[in-house]
Amino acid sequence: MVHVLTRAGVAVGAALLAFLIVGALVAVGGVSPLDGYDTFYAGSLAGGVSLGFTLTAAVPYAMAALAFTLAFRCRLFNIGMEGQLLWGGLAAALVGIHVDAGALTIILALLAAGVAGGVWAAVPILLKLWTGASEIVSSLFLNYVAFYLIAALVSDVFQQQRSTVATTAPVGSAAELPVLVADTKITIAPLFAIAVAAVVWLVLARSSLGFKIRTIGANERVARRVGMDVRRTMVTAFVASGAIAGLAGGLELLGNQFAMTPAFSQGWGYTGIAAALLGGATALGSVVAGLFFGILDAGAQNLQLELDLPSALSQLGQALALLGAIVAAQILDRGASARPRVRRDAAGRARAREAVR
Amino acid sequence: MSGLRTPSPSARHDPALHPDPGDGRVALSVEGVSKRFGAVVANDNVDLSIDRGEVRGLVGENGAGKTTLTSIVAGVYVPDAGRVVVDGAHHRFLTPSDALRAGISIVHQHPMLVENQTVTQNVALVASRRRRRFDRQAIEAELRRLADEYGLAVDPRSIVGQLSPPEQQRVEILLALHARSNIIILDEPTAILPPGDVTSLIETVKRLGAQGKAVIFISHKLEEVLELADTITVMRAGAVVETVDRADADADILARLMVGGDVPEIRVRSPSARGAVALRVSEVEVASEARSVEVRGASLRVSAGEILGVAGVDGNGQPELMDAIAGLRAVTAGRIELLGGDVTRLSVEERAGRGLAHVPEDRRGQGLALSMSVAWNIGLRHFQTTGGSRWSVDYRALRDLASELIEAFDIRGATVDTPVGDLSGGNQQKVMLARELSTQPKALLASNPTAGLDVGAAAFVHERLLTTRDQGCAIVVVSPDLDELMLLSDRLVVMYRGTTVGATMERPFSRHRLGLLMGGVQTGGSAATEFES
Amino acid sequence: MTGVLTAGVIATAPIMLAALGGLLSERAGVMAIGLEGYLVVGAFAGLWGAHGYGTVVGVMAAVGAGLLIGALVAWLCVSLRASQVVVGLTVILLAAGATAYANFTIYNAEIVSLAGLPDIAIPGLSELPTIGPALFDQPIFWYFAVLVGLVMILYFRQTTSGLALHATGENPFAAQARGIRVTTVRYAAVLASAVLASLGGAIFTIGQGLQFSPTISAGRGFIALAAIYLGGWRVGPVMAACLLFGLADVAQLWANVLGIGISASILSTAPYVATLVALATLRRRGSMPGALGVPFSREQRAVAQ
Repeated sequence: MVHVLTRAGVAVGAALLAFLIVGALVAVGGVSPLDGYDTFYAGSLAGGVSLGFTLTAAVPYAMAALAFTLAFRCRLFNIGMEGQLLWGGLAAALVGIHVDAGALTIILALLAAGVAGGVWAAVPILLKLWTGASEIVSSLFLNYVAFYLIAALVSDVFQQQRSTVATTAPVGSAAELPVLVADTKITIAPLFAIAVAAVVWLVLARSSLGFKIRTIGANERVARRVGMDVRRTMVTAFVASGAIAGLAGGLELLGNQFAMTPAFSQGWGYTGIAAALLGGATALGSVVAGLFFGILDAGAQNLQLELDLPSALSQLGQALALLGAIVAAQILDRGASARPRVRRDAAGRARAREAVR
Repeated sequence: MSGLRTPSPSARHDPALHPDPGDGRVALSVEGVSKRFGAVVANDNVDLSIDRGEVRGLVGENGAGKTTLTSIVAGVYVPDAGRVVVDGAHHRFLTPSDALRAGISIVHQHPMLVENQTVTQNVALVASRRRRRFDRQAIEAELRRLADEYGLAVDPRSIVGQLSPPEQQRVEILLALHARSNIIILDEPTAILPPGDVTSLIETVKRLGAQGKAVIFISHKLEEVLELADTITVMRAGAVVETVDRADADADILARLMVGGDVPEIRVRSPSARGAVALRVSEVEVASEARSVEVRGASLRVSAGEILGVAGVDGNGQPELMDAIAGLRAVTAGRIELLGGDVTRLSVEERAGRGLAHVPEDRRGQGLALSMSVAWNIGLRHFQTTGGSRWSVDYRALRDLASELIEAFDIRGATVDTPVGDLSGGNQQKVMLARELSTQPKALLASNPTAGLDVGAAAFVHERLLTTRDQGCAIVVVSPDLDELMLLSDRLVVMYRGTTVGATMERPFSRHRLGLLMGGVQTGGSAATEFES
Repeated sequence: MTGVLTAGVIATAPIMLAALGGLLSERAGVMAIGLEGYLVVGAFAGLWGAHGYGTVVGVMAAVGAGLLIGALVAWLCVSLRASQVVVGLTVILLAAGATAYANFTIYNAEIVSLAGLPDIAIPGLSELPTIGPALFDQPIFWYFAVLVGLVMILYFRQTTSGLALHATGENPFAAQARGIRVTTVRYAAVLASAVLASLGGAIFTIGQGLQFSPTISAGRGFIALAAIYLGGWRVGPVMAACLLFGLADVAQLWANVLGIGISASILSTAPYVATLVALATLRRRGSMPGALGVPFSREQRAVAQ
């Protein structure tokens, strides 16, 4: 329990620090930090509309963080979430455009999104198990492949007629996520994300699969020794991770963008990693960090709109928060390791040779 | 050899501490050295003094502080208090290169060499003699000269990773000589040597002493120490107990000093009530991979209620064979039968389901998840069976089980939630044992079960193994320690180069014959023919 | 054909510098996951320096930026012993965010780009048919990259320092036992890797005159990492792998030359697919540094007590 609180404290501290640094940068940009914080708050948390922006931005972060977390606990790095969510978005779009099954439409579309993401994730993990190639590099490269393929598909195959920009047609109204609060962008997407978080938590904390995943994450060799089916568990974890990332794309499409374009993603597949790590690679942490990043995004957007400050401040803030969390975590860890026999995952980390293998 | 002091056995004070000023004979002296790691006091105000040309044996059980002390002398650790005096100059070494420059070298128990480089390249790295350009010819020439002078045959151009352990050890000694060290520390050098090579090492050590080097020889094998040391220092619980002259010491005296009282008595072994054959391994072959030894034609047979010891120097295929029996390595030929059923192609899980348990040799790397709790580690063999359903895990039940086992196995310093990495080696071993034994196995494979344990913990483990045997379990014990095997086993088999050699031996065991077999000398008979029936 | 080869060689240069830098770090035992971040930082710093004060300052700025970010990475990985993969990923995010911010703040959507560097022809060799101009009539940064590679070969073979670096990556405990300061060596290796990769990034903006964006390197840092792997952590093969990927990078030109009509988007996937295929199929010869990715701690008891 203390451990968890400490980790949470670290994350919060890091976030605060990032906040302060961004405030400093705002000042450097010639704007009073107070004005900056005010505009920031107005853009992210003040009122239904702003909350809508925040939550809409938060969902893909939180989902990507959840996806990364699941694989990460098994000592696998799913860097391919970007590609997985792109395929998820495309799949949801195609179903949403061509299928009208009333209430079922959304479910079908999301299902398609999850499957698309899961299939795309199967490639790197199988490659790793068959050839030893690092899933980090292969899943990352598949992001680029996905991006270009989808760009080609959207503009050449699924292109909406009568449009000058590359985009698919928008999904039918049956596929749009219902809005929870009128006149805002608050849809059921955040609820869905929370549900996914609950499932991830259940799996990790209460299921046999979770037990195996966490054991492999702690020490793969021991897992093998006691007879766990390491390969199957790894594939399951990684593909599930991909499915969640695909779902992230699906939710974004059905709840926010409604049509697939090459510029669909804002890089959640990468910043989701930061959110996951900031959240200590836990389900709850992923949701909270995702929310935090959503606030940063919405707030920074408003800063750009009103005060002409670069929205890249959000990106910077996210990276700084992560950096702070890492530094603090390591320093705390070292303090705890004054005893010589605390090998805190060192043996496990040694096995995490994620170098290109 | 230098002149020796002759303290009476009861003296607790080493007069060599205060040599005459300007004596010039004292090569190394350690004054008031203390070191603690967190709550553990590894060295407690240690004083020591060694002359030039003196071979000093350093003995003590695991955890007595011998390695910590020599690590401080060699500059690997920085002491909390005290200092090291070399040739009159006071030092507090901050890094190994400081110690190297002062003329101190240490030959580690497990060769600390860069395996992917040649001998010459490894030697080129030595701090005190490092040049900017890597002059291969010059170093090779000097290595050959040193090798001749000290009788250490090694080809400088060979890649270290391809050398045998005795050869690697020779490289380490050459490193020390190349560095012009006058003080050479050898940490348990015979642990990795077959009996034949031990003799030549002892010769080399005597030659080093004759050439005026001061040698510290750490070993827990009292016979060896008594053979080559001039004086012997006994350590216990981080402090020096006494330093005695070789003439005044024998194994009993040393053992008593090491343990601080009477050596714990081994309980009398009852003869085994042998049942049916529980585990039969016939002509098994395991393919070799990188860094593993090929197993060819290995056979053994263990009955219920019996302990079979597998003797052999480390690196002759024992872990590979044990892994194959456990189901972790694929067998390319031969059969493995457990309780009469063929398990050759079954998975680890399936074999475990049929009653096979194993305690691996590397508890930190392969046996335990150090960052996880005691309950978790014990749960590794129980999570699917204790309560819950196939899909969920009943953590409460696991913790209850762990609680019981902590008590039953007297695991100290642990609650169910303590990360296993925080426990001492002995308690970690107990966790592993508890985990495996709590599955009520019919057959148990125990590899190096007492590695790194002090006498008390080792005795506990031996007790448990014997008790389990008496309950009808068939046990295979692998150990490089012949004494341990001769103590525990009902029958013994030897492994050499991946095969079981010689016939399986019954009690009483011939140490002589075992030594020959371990060193690769065939003495007729073969374990394989026993199993043809 | 020559045109394609020339373009391919130009594309190789940044990958090669990043890979060579990464090689130093990895041979010393520290994973170079963050190469992508170094490229981006170097590209921006180079642009800023060169745009304001000329090419030389631009190069120095890239070096300086490399030193700064390398120091951060070294501190995190070597002193704090954080997970090297996590650090690499963090650095990439940080680089993207910081350069995006700086780019907006300093240039504010102005289109800024430089003229690029001129070709320098090596007399004689540049006249060779087909490959001559491609290899020997190129801007200075190509020759620099190759030179760095050649120097590194000598470094590892002939100097004790190179041996020591190798030892640090293979078995830091043995290296420490021989008196090598593992921490210092690793810091130096990481700093050098960051500087080299930053210079590689500067090639985009200073050398090729491209406009900056935080995605300017488009994964080439990871391609460099793949090249290190494929080359078995040996300089020569790594350089060859870089050339292979550089040629794949200009796939669109290949398509033109060979008369294959595939859409531009699909062709853009070529370098990544090539890397994936190579990773999956080619057996690497050399071997991974024994202690790669394992944080080193002086007082770690190598043998269980």
